[in-house]
Order: sequence, then structure tokens, then C-alpha cells
Amino acid sequence: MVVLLALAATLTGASEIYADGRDDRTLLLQKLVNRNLPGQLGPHRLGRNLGRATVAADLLLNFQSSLSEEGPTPFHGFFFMDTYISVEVAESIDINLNLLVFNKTASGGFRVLSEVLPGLSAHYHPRLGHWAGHPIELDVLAIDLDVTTIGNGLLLETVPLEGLLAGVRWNGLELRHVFGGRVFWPQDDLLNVTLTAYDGHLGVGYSRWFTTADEVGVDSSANYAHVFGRWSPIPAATVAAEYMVRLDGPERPAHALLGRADFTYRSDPVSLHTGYQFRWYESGSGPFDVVLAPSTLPNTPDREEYYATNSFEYLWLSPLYEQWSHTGMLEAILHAPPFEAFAELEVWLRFSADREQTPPRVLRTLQGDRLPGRVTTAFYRVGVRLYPLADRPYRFIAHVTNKSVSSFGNVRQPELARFIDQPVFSLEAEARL
Amino acid sequence: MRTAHLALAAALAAGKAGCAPSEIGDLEPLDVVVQVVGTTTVTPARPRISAFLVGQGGIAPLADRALTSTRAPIHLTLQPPPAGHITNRLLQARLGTGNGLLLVEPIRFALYDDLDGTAGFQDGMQVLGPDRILAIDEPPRGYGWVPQLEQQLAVPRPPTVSAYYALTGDRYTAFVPLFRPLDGTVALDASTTSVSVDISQAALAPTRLACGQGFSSPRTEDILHLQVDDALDADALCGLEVADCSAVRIEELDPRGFVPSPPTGAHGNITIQCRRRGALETVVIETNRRLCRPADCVCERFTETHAVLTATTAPPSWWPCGDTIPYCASSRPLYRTDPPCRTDEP
Repeated sequence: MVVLLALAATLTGASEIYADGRDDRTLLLQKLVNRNLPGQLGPHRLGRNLGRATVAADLLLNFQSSLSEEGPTPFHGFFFMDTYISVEVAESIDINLNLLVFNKTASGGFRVLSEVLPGLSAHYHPRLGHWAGHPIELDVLAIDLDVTTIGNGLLLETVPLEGLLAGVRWNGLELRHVFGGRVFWPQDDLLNVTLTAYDGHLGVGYSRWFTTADEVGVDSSANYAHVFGRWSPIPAATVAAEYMVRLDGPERPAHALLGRADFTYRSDPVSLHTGYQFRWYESGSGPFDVVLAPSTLPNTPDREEYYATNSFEYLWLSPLYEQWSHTGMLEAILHAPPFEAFAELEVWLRFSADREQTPPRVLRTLQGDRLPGRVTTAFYRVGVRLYPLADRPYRFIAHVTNKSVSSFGNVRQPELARFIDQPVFSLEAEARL
Repeated sequence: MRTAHLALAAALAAGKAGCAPSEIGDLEPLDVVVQVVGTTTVTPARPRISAFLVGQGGIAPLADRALTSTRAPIHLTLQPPPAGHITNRLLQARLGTGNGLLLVEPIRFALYDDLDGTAGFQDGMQVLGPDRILAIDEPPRGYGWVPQLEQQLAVPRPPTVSAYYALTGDRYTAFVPLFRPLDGTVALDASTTSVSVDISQAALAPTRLACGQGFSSPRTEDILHLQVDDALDADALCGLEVADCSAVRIEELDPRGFVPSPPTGAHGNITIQCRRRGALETVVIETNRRLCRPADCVCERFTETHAVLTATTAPPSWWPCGDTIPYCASSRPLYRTDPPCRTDEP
């Protein structure tokens, strides 16, 4: 009991966004979420106080110069306007519209590659009553779930989904259901039920991942059980862990583990985040028992604010290999008005082993990595921001990076890789309206 | 206790970091079984069996061994081709039940007489070399070599990787079993457990090896000789159809002279039939020969028919019809064989 009370005392409070699937430990600037919009906006947003409506738009203009023989990345010379419109149509009922408005590249011709990607969610969030002095709150959200994470991300982390999200909350407890369609493979669906305590810091869950994709010759399902938790021994530090077991592994239950530690210090003039995460996926822990390359969509630049270390990279290889990895994350910001220097680094060291065959079965990934073995990946971004107006969130950015979203076709066309490693220099203008 | 648990977790994490992942080995060889079928009167001096690829630079040997007997199954261990082998011909083979496809180079198997004594098939040259080819692999069962295996498996088609390793028994090998039915399709098929070489097709073997299955077979000469017992009216019986028609003293004929000598490299068969209609009956000896020219990828067919016509009431003493050879009931001309009645003799 003493341990639990001490644990409860160190847990951070709930986010203002229901089921916020973003990573709250990183300093990477992640996009807004398509619900609970008013609570996300800072004081300088132009659309904060419009009565029952709230409007926001994050605008990005990019000019790019390639630093390699490979030329520019798919998104270059582009504009990207992430627009949110939220209307409280009635008490406890919000309609949220997110419009991704962009032109992928000026190289395509006048408005040839301009697109609008809409996402709409209806959010019903009544207070059902009170019990023992605490409110009982219901949330039902569909269809655009935006960025979604299950547990601490061992199975699914920061992946945009469409489907259904529903939960009942009381006194830090929550019973939540998530149903997402087309997650990593054609015609696959993911169903999850989670019971959490302490505002999501401890939890158990069940997930079922299944597909009816006859076109790829797979008709399969996998059932998982999760246990997860996170703890902040001091306000700036967070330790998280998750254990998962696929109950119906191909030969026996298959296990997976995640451990993560972060130190996040946000201050002026220095902000710093350092983090480490370890992942282990036993052979057979993925949802399908054949090697089936996953794909992701939509492929837009906002994905660059999420880590490359993601279950997307592991699950599809588990029919052949046991995998484990170490990832180091670092973001640093030095604010010296009107400038701000920043540096971001993710170093991801992956191992894979064929525990069933000697010599092992060999596979070559799209990136050219020969498995099993060791693969090292590093993504960085280093640059300077200029804030011409001290009291407005508008800025110019000059940076060098090797991390770009993989988006060679239409952004809705499934891509087999999440990122491409290609050094570029970019000049950008950004405004948060 | 808590410290011990943390230490164990740290050791586990560190142990995973320190544990070496699997070491990728070389492509594995494959043991195959070759069956020699058919019969022949040819006795090779130095019989050997070879498995090889036919590349742009010549023959790339995969296995080669001497034979002491062609009756028992022959075991070969296929080794990857030497470096520098350049693929010449690729087949698109279906993998599994989905849409998986792989490009495969067919492996040829040849039973040959090592005439130059080098213990190597054609010494790495093209398929028409110093050694005499006695038999080659027969469809539909065979084996193939998957060039650039990892690159082909890297393309994310519908479950190609899993289907491939299920086919090879989870072995990292580029040798695969093939099934090639007559409809021209090619499939990677685990039910292929051996390959056959037909030693009775020696005349065709060089052409089929040199030309694959793509050689032409224009029908050429079809020669008919009709000899009529001089007791009958030969002119009336031959009519306008038979050009080579003669009246003979049928008792003095020796039918063994009706079989021509086969040209070198020819392969064929002989059909003998007895025909009867009304008061007339014939013995028909049809000789089919096929002569191949591998350099031209042509196999020409020669047919020569000798028919002897006599009265049913007065057959010669050597006449085989009715006793040795039954009569073939047919509506075809009396001087032609009818295929359903054939009992071919080589």
C-alpha cells in the first residue's frame, strides 16, 4: 500500500486530450490532435475564442537543397497546412474536422500535386454522473482517431488510425476500447480493450489483430495480452515498461518486452530530452505467421516528428527472427532570442537472430539490410530557428537532416518504408495560426 | 531482493546487447536424385552424370560424378555455380498458392559418355562439345537455380519469403524443385523429389539440350513402296495413288530387306501390321526415323512404308499375318498402318 501511494504521488496528471497517442516525453514538435482542440491551443492562436468553434492551422513552407547525389526528398519545395476546425454542436458533442492541405512539391507543376486530406471525428463526451465523489465520464469517438498508441507502444505506437475509440473513466480508472482499420497491412484490423489505473499509468489489456486479406493469401488472427506501466520518480524523469504475449503464437505463446527511460527538462533557455528504450520481440510475436511486408499511410511530413523505432519495423519479421534493439534519443534546444538552436538525434541499434535454423534463413530488407544480423540506423536534425516576432509563434528554420518521410507516390499510396535516410538542407517558414 | 531484480534485468538487457545475432552462412548445397529410365543398346565407355547451368559464358557445373550402374538411383550434391556465371535463360516460376513469382534458371542434367576423359561435361564449353550426350532431363520434374536469391526475396510480394522457406524446408539454398507441365507453366513444387533422364532418347538428346524445347520438327519424306503379287493386277490395284508400285514373285521376297539402314544420329521405330479387306490382304512395314541437327535446332522425320499385297487365298510361305501378327481391322488404305493397332518395335 505504501508503495502504491508513493507510486500514485509520482504519477503525472492526465492530458487534456482524451486518449492522446502522442509521445509526451520527446521535445519533437508533434502535430495537434483532432479532438479537444481548445485545450491544445496556446494564447497566441488566432482561432481560440470563436464561441462554440475553434480553429487552428499550422502552416509550413519548405525550400530544400539536396546534400547527396540522390537528389531531393519526395516532399521538397512544398507547403503543408494542417488545419483544424472544432465545433461544439451541443453540450458534450464536438465535431472535429482536420484538413491536411498541401502541395507535395513545386516540381510537379502549378497545383498538380496539391491535395486535401480530410479527417472527421465526432466526439461524444458526456458526464454520466458521480460515484463516491468522482465523476463518471464517457467518451465515444469516431472515425478519425488521429495518432494512436496502445499501452506504452510495444504493439502500436503513434500510428494514425480510423475507427472507433470509446472509454469510461472514473477516479483515474478507465476501461477503453479501440478499433482501428487498415493498420499495417491490407484489410487488417486491430481491436483493443484496456483497463488502466492512475490516469493510464498502469494497465492491462487485450488486443486482437486480424485480416481477411485473401488477395495476399493470408487469413489470420492473433490474440495478445498486455501489461504496462510508467512511473516518474522525479518530475523530469519517466520510466516505462510493457510486457506482451501473443497467446496463440505459431508454436507456443510468444513474448515481447519494452523498457524505456526518459529525462525531459523543459526550461528557458535550455530544454533537453534524453531517452533510452529497449525492445525485445520473440520469434512468432507478430500477428501473422508469414513474412508479409507492412505498409503505412498517409505519408506526410508530420511523421518526421515521431521516432523511427516503432513496432512497424519489428512485427513483420517475427515469423523468422527473434529481435531486440537499443535506441537512444536526444533532443536539445538552446533558446537565445531571437534565435534558437536545436539538435535531434535518434540512434537505433537492432539485432535479429534465427533461433530455429542453423545456418539461418536470410532476408534482405528494402533498405538493403541483410538479416539476420545487426543494423544501425541514425537520424538527426540540426539547425537554427529565428523568431522575428517575440510574441508570436512564427519562425524561420534552417536545418540539416537525414530524416524524411518516405512518400514516393501519392501520399495515400501505401509505402513499405516509413522514412528515408537522405541528407538535405532545408529553409522553412512556419506559422501557428 | 529489489536490487537483485534490477541487476537481473540489467544483465538481461546487457546480455541481449552482447549476444551475437545469427551469422549468415553461404548458400547451402542440395542433394538430388536422378533416375535413368528407358533402354538402349549403346554401352558408354565412361558414363557420367552431370548437373549444370547453361550460361552466357558456357556451362557452369553444379555436380558431376562417374557411374557404375544406371539401374540404381543416382545421388548428386548440387553446389552453387562458380563466381562469374552469367545467367542465360530465366523462367518465371510460381511460388506457393498466392501471386508469388521468382525468376529461376533451369538446371540441366545429362548422362554422357566422357569421351575425352576429363571427368567434366563438355569441359565448360557449350552443350555441343567433345562428350557424347546419352540422355537429358525429362519434364515435368526438374530443378532450378534462383539467381540473386536475396534480392528476389527482398521484393515484398505476397508471402514470397515464407513460401520460399517452406519450400526449401527452412534451408538457405538457391536450389529449388520445379514442376513444368506441358502447358508451359512453371511452378516451384516441393513434390519433385527426383529428376529423370531417358536413355532411349539419345538421338534427340543433343538437340533438346542445345535447343531447349524449342526445336522444329518439319515432317519431311514419306516414301511408299507397294509390291503386288504378280498373280494380281498391280496396275489396277495401285491406281493413281501409289507411285512406286511393282508386281513381284511374292514367294521370293525377303521382308527383312524392307527396313532401311538408319542414318547416323537417327532415332525411330518400326511398325508391322497386317491388313485384310475382301479377297486381298497386306503386310505393311512402316519405318519412322527422326534425324536431328542440333546446330540448326531441327529434327526431321522420315517415314518409309513397304507394303506387300497378296490374295487372301494364296499367301506366300513366309506370310506372318494371322499367325504371328493379327489382322488390324481398319478403314484406312490397305497399304497404310493404322495407329490404334500399332505395336511398335524399335
